[in-house]
Amino acid sequence: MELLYQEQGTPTAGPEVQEHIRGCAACRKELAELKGLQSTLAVWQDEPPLRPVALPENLARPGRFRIPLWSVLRYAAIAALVTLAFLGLSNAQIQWNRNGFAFRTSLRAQAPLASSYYTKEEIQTILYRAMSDSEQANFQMMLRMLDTIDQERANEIHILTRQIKESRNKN
Amino acid sequence: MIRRFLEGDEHAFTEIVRKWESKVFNLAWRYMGNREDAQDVVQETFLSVFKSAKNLRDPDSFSTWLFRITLNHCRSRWRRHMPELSLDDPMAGREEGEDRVRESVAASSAPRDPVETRDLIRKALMGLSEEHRAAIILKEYLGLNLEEVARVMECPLSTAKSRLYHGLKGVQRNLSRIGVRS
Repeated sequence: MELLYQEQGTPTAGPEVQEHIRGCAACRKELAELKGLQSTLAVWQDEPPLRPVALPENLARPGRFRIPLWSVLRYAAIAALVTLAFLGLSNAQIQWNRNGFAFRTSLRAQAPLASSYYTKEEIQTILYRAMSDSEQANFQMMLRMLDTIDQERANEIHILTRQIKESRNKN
Repeated sequence: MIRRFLEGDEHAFTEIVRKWESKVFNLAWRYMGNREDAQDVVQETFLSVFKSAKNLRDPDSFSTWLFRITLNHCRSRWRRHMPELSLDDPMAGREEGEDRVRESVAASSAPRDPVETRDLIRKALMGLSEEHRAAIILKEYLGLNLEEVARVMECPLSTAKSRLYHGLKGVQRNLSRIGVRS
């Protein structure tokens, strides 16, 4: 093959092979035939392509990580919600006043209105009332428990008395 | 050009296609023996190049890489469509008028025109095994040196030489069977 192609930069056939070729008619003939064959093969010449290549214009660029659009939108929406939540909670205002319960968030912190808060006296009154209501409720509950215990005790005494009477009658 | 494409220059890919499509087409045509199949291989090859360019580690070896991809597409298409061809029937092929060519070859030993000779060469190549045919195309038609042939075919240099030698002998034998003297 080296003798046939005699390429630059590749090892050519050694001197002993060349010496053999000079002395061997069969090898010389074969080499000549292969060279003739190369000329025959050269008859088949190049031709232009039938049509241009359809370029893949709408594909992702090579070497880049391809992310579907829906995925980008989903992550963008989640990121937006998280951001809004963080901003909102950082300035969240939770109120309970005479107007009821209120929860408000805003991007900017707002100064509270004095009129929207209970005064100290009002809070004390509310707390006293709540405690009073609670004590009344506890007292009523304890009375009901005592009534229940008395009732059960009376029932047990009644049952025991009857059993004793029945026992005496049998004897 | 290859580096620009790898760096994201969209126009570079167009330049690559325009520069290499003729070589890829002619490689595929001689492998498949059929222009339409060859054109399909060209399309598939450049699509693969576009998609897998990131796997090309050394831009200097682009041509080797490109021819390897082309041969892979040729092989898979060949095995899908033409598994029955063999050395026993060097006249086998897919293009029209083969019987007429066979008859004309048998009937006449007069000088042939280049188109007829080309068709006979095509048939002689089609009668080779895939590896022998690929080695001849890479060496004789694409003009690669022996080491490049070995790299494209992913085999040792000695194997490439052996495939080339036996391929040439096979072509010679097939041509003489159909009456062509080289």
